[in-house]
Parts: sequence; structure tokens; C-alpha cells
Amino acid sequence: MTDLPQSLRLLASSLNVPSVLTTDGLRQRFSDPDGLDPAAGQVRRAQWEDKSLLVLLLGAAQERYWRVAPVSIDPTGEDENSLVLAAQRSAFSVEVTVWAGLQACLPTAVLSRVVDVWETDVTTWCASPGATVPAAARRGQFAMPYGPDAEVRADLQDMLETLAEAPLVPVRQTTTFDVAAAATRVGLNVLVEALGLAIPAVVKIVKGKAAVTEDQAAILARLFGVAVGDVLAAVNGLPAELAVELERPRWRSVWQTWAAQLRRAEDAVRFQVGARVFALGYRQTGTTGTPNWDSRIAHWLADHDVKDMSGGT
Amino acid sequence: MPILEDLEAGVVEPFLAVVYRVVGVQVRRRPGAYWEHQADPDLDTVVTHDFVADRWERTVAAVLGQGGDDASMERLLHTIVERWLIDRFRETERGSVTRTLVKHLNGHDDFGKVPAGHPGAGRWRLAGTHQPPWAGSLEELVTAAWTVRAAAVRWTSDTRRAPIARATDLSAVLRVVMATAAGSVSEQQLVEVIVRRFPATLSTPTSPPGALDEAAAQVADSDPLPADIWQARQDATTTAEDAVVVVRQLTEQDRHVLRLLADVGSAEAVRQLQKELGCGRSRAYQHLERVRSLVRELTGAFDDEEQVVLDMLTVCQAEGDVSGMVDDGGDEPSNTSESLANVEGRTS
Repeated sequence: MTDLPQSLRLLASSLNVPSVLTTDGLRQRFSDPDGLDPAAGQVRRAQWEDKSLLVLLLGAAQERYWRVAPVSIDPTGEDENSLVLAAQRSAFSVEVTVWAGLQACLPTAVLSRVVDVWETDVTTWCASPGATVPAAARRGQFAMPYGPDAEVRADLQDMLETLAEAPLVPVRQTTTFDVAAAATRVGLNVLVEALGLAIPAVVKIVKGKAAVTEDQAAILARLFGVAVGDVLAAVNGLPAELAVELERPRWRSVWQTWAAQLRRAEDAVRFQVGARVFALGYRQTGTTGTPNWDSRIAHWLADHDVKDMSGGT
Repeated sequence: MPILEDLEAGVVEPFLAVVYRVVGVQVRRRPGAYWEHQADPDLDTVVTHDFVADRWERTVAAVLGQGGDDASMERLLHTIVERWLIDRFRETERGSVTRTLVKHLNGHDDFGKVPAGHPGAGRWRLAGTHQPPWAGSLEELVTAAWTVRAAAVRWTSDTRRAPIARATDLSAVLRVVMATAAGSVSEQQLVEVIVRRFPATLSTPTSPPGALDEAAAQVADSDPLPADIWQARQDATTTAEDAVVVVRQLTEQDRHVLRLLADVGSAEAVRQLQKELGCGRSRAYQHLERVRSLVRELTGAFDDEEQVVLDMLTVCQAEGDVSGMVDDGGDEPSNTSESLANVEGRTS
């Protein structure tokens, strides 16, 4: 029971949520709105930490990124480079604005639930605004400087900038720095003493089968005479194919749920699972072969739950 | 269960409770549209009913579309409700600009109203001309308006009508606009041109999340600024007096932004504002540019006058600690308009 005056409680009983936007409605349309792979024309939530934004996917950009245009519903706003869609053109049933002039590349890792899919004419126009505007849509009007439209635009720009900087899964870069060779040069005993770990744990790190914390990376960097970033990339990085798989939207609800339960950052949980899946894959295939990371993540998640993550990296 | 998940499942009441709470906060920050109902004990309930009647469908679509956690959903709601309250208040503002403009047009022989029975009846054109209704791009008229050097006069009260600009300046702008149109122009079109000619002056900025009370500071029309005035009177040059007139039309928040600009420069000022307002870089930059533009509009200048005001603020800041000792003599003007020659539109 909420703390509402009686008249508002009555009002609440008369209000509806458009069924097409409810979880059931989305499931009817998309079967699994959290599990779909990204595709041009989809309207998705883009989320990272406490930032959340609606975006239209225009197409894949460089690997692990999508080119998007932000979408605003309320506050709506518009400018001369935007497309305003009439209510009948989207599932939102109200006029919405696609800010084609604010296109940006966002990491796939920030994309989550699909909430609508728009027709090709909208995506095509937004990717390259032309003279012919799609049906049941209009080009936005000039945004007054310092007016409400300009404020919406500034907020969207800030949001895109933040989302674009969301951390990716670190990818192993063997060509930049060879940890095993450096460890041999320095000597295992020196590493054991400096890190304060048992020999098996240090061997795992050197062989790339266990991750290091930033403090441990700093110690190793000092001993090896390289930058901390080089150590992190060489030791903590995962295979590129696994990184791409971990960043697919289908896994996000798991990362987010576990991160909330563990009170840890989503990227830390994502990486920790990735490291464990990688270690498992390493044992099963050694250094050869191309593992099917999709099924390995699924199997690992089927065999483990959030309690298995409480030990940290 | 998170409120957003409730809403996604079609359960409305917990979400409406958040709306009610947000409305309660925002209507106290932005009371303009409900100014006459502030004492109503059921104000929050009344405003929530109005908001739901006006924006329910759009708000639910926005919240369910954007998603996020309950905290980000509540932040979005604050933005939505704040802008809705401002929109309602702006309807009043536009009405005020229209009334001031019409009074000005009626009071000056330079302009004539197209009489009934003629093409474009009710529109305005330069007196003595007989041109047909104008039909062109509003941008042309706005561009023409910007070619005129004109000093804006800012809203100084919730109860007085805004004068927009010095009367002579307003006439000059309107003359150029009508000459460019070479035809009669409607009151609505003229209002649009004037609002775009003085965008910073006639805008009601929303505040970024986190700046709950700062943006609500009203223009200090009735509070003299002892240090500012005292300093200005020590320096009786026309420039200083002009600067003080401008300074007095700025809110505390505007002055703070200008002081930041004077003290640390643009780049650092943007960083500082990001921290203070809890917003992003683009929004902070926009905030800063609005204040700079406001100063230019109020001084009627295109460039160097901004520096005069910055210098003036620096002096005021340096003298700030003597404000307690200032004897203002009791004859200070109690509002900005008193200091301005030839300003109209002060009726309620």
C-alpha cells in the first residue's frame, strides 16, 4: 500500500499502461526482448551504471560498437537535424524524436532490451538525412538557443558521451608484452615474494590463467619495467572472441542482476565470469582450437550462481 | 520489487506515488504556473491530477522506453515534471510578450494595424504602407532583427509585465522586421521573432538535476546590491552605470557564472559548473553560453560590452567584503526599470 491520497488511489485504478510496452507485451512481440541480437532498426535501451537512454540502431560500426541515434519521448525536443515520428509510427503511441544529428558509436556492451523495431525508411533517413522525409514523420524545427529543445539536446549529448566511455572487456594483447618471458627474466621467487602469493597462484598469473588486481599489476609492472596498462592487458585480457560474446546484450540481465546482488560494478562481474569461462575453456582445449564461447558461457552459468562469485577476482 | 518492474507488469499505483512525490518537490521549485494556489493544502494532489491528465501517456512511454533503475527513473520524472511546469508557465510568458508587444505597437505611430475588410486584417505593418500579408521564412525576419543593436530588459518580477527591451530599441527592431517583410505581419509572427531575438532574456532555463534550489533564484529587482551600487556610484562613468544596470538584472546564479568566467576562464568555468550542477559538459557549456548571451542581450552589444560587465563584476567581487559598511543613503532605485530611460510595460 502506497502513501497516496484517496483521490489519487482512485485515479491509479483508472490508469493503464499500454500493453505493448509491458514485459508481457514485449515478450509477445519479440519472444525474448533481452536475448535478441542487435540489428539496424531496433529501438533499444542503452544503459550503463545510472545512465539510461533510448536509441535507434542505425548499423554496426567498428567491431564491438553500434552507430546509434538517440530517441527522446519526454521531454521530447527537436532540432533541424532530427526526425519527429507521428504517434502511429511507433509502439510508444505518442510523438517521438530521433536526433539524427547526434549520431554516435556506442559499445555493444551498453545495449540492453529491445522495445520497438522501426521500418527501414526511418533508419535510412536518420543514417543520412535527406530531403524526402518518411511518411507520417516530419523534419524537426530549429531549436531556439538556450530554449528547452537545446537543453534536451545538450543532455542527450552528455548521456551519449558517458555511454560511449563504458568499459569494454579487456582483450589479451600477446604481441605487446610477453608476461612469461618477463617472469623468467625476473625470476619466479622474486615474483612470489613481491606479490605475497603461493607459487601455484603466481604460476597461474604468469601463464595467463588467473587475473591480477590493479595493485598486483602495479607491483608486476615495477618489476618488469613496463606500464601498468601493459600488464593488465597481457594478464587480464581475454580472447577477443570471448570479449565480443560477453558483451552481447543477451547476457546483460545476468551481469546486472549479479552486480546488484554483489554490490559490484557490472564490468567487474562480467570480466570475472569471462575469466572463469576462459580458464575452463583453457583446460578443455589448451591453447589450440576455437571454443564456442556462447555455449561455454551458457554452460558455466547453468552450473554456477551468484554465490560462486562472492570470492572476487 | 522495483517500481519500474511493477510498471512494466502493468501495476500503476507505486509509480503514481513517485509521480506525486516528484510533483510535490517540483511545484515548490517552479511555482509559477500555480502561483495563486500555493496556499492550497491539497496543492500536490491537484497538480498531480493535472499532470496525469496532461501527460500520462507520454510519461509512461518515456519511462518504459528508457528503462534504468528506480533512481534514474525518478530523475527522469523530475525532468519531465519540471519541464511540464515550465511549459505551463511559458504559456503565460508568451501571453505577456504578446500583450507588451501589442501595447507597444498601439502606442507608436511608426506602426499601423491593417483595418478590417482589407487583406491581412488585424496584422501589423509600417504606418503609411499598404502592402499585402507577408508570407516568407521566419528566419529572414529573425536575421533582420539581429542586425539591430538593441538592449534587452529582463523579466524583473512575477507580477509586472516584462518590457522586453528599451522602447526605442524595440521600435527599431520592429521597424527593420516590418521593412524586411515588406508586408503585414501577424502578432504571433512578431512574438516569435522577438522571442528569438532575445533568446537568453526570454528563456526560462531548467536546471540540471541536483541543482534543486539554485536555479529558483529570482532576479533581484527589489534587493539593492549595496557593494555593486556603492561601487558604481564611486565611479560615475556612464559605462559603469550601464554595467550596474545589467548586473542588477541578473540572478544570483547568473552572477555566479559570470564571476566564474571572470576568475577562471571558460574551460575551467565549465568544469566547475559540471561539478556544482551535477550535469554533463554540454549542459554546463549551454548554461554558461546562455549567461554570456544574456549579458550581450541586456547590454545591447554584440561583443565588447560583455567584457565591461565582467570587469564590473570583478570590481564588485573585490569590494564584496565592504558591503556591510556601505551607506547606500536610502535613495537606491528599488527596481531595475527605474534606472532605465524610456522603458515601458510596467503594468501588472
